[in-house]
Amino acid sequence: MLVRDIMTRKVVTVTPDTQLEEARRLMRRGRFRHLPVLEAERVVAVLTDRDIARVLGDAVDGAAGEPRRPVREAMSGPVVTVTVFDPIEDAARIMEERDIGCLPVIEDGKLAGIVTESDLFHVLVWLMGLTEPGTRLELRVGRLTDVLPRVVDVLCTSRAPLHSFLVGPARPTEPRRILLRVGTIHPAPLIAALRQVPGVEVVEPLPAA
Amino acid sequence: MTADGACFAWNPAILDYNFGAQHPLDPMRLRAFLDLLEDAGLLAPDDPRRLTTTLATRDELELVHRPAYVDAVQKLSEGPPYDEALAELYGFGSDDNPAFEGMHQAAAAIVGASLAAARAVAEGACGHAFSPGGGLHHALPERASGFCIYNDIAVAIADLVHRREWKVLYVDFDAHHGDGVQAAFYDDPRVLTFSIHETGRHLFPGTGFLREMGVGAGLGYAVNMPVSAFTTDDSWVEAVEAILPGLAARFQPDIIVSQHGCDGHAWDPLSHLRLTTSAFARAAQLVHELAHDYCDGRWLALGGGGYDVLGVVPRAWTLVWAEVAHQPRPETVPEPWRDRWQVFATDPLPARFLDDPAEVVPPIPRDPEIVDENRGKVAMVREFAFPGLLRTAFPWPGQDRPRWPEQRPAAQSRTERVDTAKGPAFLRDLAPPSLVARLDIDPGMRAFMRRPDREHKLLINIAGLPDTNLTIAHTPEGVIVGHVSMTEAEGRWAPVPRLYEVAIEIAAGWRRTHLASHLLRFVTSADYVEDYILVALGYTWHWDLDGSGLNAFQYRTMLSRLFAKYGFDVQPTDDPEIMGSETNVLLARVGSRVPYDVYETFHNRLFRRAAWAF
Ligand SMILES: [Zn+2]
Ligand SMILES: [Zn+2]
Repeated sequence: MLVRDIMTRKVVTVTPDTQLEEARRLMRRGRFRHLPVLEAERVVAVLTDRDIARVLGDAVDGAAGEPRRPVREAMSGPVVTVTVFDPIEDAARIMEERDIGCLPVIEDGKLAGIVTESDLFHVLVWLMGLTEPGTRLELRVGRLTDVLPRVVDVLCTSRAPLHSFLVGPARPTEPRRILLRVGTIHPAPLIAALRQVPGVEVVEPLPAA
Repeated sequence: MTADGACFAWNPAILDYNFGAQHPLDPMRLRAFLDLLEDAGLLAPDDPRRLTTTLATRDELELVHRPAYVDAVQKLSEGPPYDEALAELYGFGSDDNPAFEGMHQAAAAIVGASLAAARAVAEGACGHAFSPGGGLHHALPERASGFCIYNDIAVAIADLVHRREWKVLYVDFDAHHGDGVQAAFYDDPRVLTFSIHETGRHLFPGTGFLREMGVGAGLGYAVNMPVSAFTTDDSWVEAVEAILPGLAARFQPDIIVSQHGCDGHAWDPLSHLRLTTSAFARAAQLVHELAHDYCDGRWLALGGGGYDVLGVVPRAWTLVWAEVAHQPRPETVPEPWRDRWQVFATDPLPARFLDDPAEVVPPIPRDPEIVDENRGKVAMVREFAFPGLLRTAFPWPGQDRPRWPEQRPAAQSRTERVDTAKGPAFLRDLAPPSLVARLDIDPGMRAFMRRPDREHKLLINIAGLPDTNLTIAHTPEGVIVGHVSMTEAEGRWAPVPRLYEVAIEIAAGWRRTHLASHLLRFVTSADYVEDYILVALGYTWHWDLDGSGLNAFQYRTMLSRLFAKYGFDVQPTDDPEIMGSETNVLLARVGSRVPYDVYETFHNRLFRRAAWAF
């Protein structure tokens, strides 16, 4: 999946000379927390609600008598961007490493959209099958290459719709896990069949710790 | 049939709702239940309380379901050979909901019965009604899900809203989250859905988490209490009792619709809960009380899940009907009934209606942890589901906040006379309950209980509680026209010593008279407040803006400005409940003598970044 598949295309922008009160109003009206700052079609910064709060405070809305302050005084650069063809995981990694909540997306040198934390969470929710009613199953497995064909076989034989099938990388001290979401209210037969596969443990709640 | 009488909605065609021999949802459960009602002497075959019901019409089904879906159900209902692609598209492709011949009629019979029950209550033909075949809470607008084809609950509620614009409180006791009903009214503030269920960690439909709270205008009108696997009666009942009465008080419903799925029973094969019929009976009793307290008795009860077909379902729903019909709870299961049905059961059928948890539920080593887990969630639900004043008025045992007796305000009550545009008013702090009880209440005082008489009772109650401080404003004629309450914080704030929650209310006719300013100035001028942190939590859905002429955003601004004059600042927070709506606000005033470490504990509570791990 590429950034262009998940990015928000309709972006409200400001310039360094926009008044901060105006920027705050735009954010509230649009219910978002980031505004790309454009100067001659180039993205020079991303203004966040926290930037605004730092300069204006939050105590009273639009206090009268305060001198008007432009975006320039609150914004901080330089700005990190991605392109429409970057994979979403790269965008996620940049946001995680730099601890930022939003990346402007560039196409042909111009702003084409933004990708935010919520866009990524949206994808995560979808990838994990959470948009469908289902039962979450967690498997602890031995060697993945040994068990995978049999697990897949059981899943295909069952008539329960498979909403999601996730495997993460191995960790040295922990057993490998497979996370499933199956569209059934009655997973008992499927669980019983999975238990028959050597090397598979189905994690279920237990009365004892 | 009279207004406090009961109706029983049934249609024999409901017994045709049958997904096949190996399927967990066995219509035998309803046959055995009806038989038990008769043997227990609670409902005769020719009982006048029985409603005649018909199949729901297409128009009625389309209150909730998409026309294309109803078309598909009707097509598949004609019987084999089935159009596999069509079946799969609409949720009939799996073993959960295999298509069967006649399924449209059977499912429409269920909806028809629940609708008839709802209308009987709405039209005053009876006070309470029970539709035991209903309660199919998983069905979605265009898909069958979790054994549910048509969502009779959503159709009945939609019908009530259409015909009456009633405020409907929906309560879902099933082991599974009531996802279909929640989704149908997720953005509607006139339908408050409350579901208590086993957490979605290991159970279908994998939703119903605390933070599912509604969207748009409906934000705050979906409430979820996910309990841990292996939860037992005491903890479950405690959660129901800690949440439901306060929720009803806040919402003031016109009718309660309750779903009595009994698949949380310890013997049920589909959930991991360890409940018994005793918990189910208590739940029904509480709903009944609330219906009389708030809705002139209007109550529609429905069946739901339940897969211990003979051991649990017939007893559980007989207890519901006894409650609905104002009959004493039956005690012993009639022997002839047990003899008749034992042959179909694998385990001996129980001899008593109410289970003794000690006999039915094997010991659960994790029980103390589970109780704690559930209490932690209850505290969070209470915090966002109803205002601090109602939390104080509806206390619960899980509220083991450390007491700070030394910081109790000095018992000296102050008074002051203020002059306003509406005339003079007296302010009085630490108001004693006897005074509050003697005074009358202005008809415009209704912010918390939506009705002045109930508001008065609430204030009398608050005045009498330990560690609360009620300040009232009353006229020389003895009419309460405003109040400020300081109540012990709970939930997330409980670990912060010296923290009180502040709420303010001004009678509708006394707004714009600066009475609010007078009250706040008076309250914050007491010397003892310098030892406390005062917090005002503003959740949009707690406000009663009717008649104020303000929208939520204007109200927030007004509130922030008013409180700012008396040392309250808007606190930045990453709290998802506060961030959930931009009109929510958290204001705090930190007293000048509050020690720094206390302030720091408070400040750290404003930010709780969720740890996230795969
Ligand atoms: Zn009654
Ligand atoms: Zn259920």
